[in-house]
Amino acid sequence: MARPKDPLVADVKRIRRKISKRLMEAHRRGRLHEELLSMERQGERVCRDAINGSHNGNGKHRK
Amino acid sequence: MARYKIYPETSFWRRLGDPENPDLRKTSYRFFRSIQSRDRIHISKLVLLELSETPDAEERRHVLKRLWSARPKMVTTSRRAERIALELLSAGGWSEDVFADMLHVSYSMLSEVDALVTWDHGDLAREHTRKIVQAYGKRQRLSVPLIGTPEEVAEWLGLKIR
Repeated sequence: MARPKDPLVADVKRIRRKISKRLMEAHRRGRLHEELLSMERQGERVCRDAINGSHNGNGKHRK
Repeated sequence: MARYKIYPETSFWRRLGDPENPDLRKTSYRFFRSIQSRDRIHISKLVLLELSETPDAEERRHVLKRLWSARPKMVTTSRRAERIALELLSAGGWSEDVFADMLHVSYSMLSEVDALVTWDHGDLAREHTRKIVQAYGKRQRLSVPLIGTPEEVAEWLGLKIR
C-alpha cells in the first residue's frame, strides 16, 4: 500500500530540489564548490539571525 | 553501552517543530532525547541552509534552539564530499533533483557516522537507496551509515525510544 504523503517531508524536498537545481547549474559552470560554500554561508547567517545572534553558527555560544 | 555518531538530516530537525503530526513529532523527541547527551550528533551547513528556508519563522527558531542545544559537530564542506555526491547520483541513476540528498549521504559517509536519520521514506530511507549506497561505499572503501527513520535506527542500534 502506498504511504500517505507527508507534508513536512514534501516541503523539505521542495527546498532540497531548489538547492539541487542551483548547485547542478553551478556544477555545469565549474563553480559547484564556490556556490555550495556561498549558499551554506547564507543559510548559516539566516539561522544565526533566527535565534537573535545568541550563537555563532558553530554550536558554540558567543561570549 | 556503545556511543554512536548520528547525522540527523533536515526532515528530522523540522519534525521537532511540526505541529501537524504529533505522533511523529513525539517519536522524534524521544529519539532526540535518547541520543542528545550520550551520543555525538553531527550536522552539516547544508542542514542549516535547508532549515533557513523553513517557511514559519517561529518553527525555524524552535527547531534551531533544539539543534544547538545538542552541541552538534559540524561536518566540513569539501570538494571530496561533492564528488562523492555526484558519483552516488550517477551510481543510482537518479535525477539531479536529489543531488542535495546525496550530499547528506556523502557528508554522513565522510564523517563516518553510524546512522543517517531521516523522515524521507521516498528517497533516502528506502531499500533501493541503501543498496546503492552500500555498494558504492564498499567499492570506494568508505564508511557506510545505516539510513533510516528514527524508529528504524533506534531498533538497529538498540536505542530505547518507547
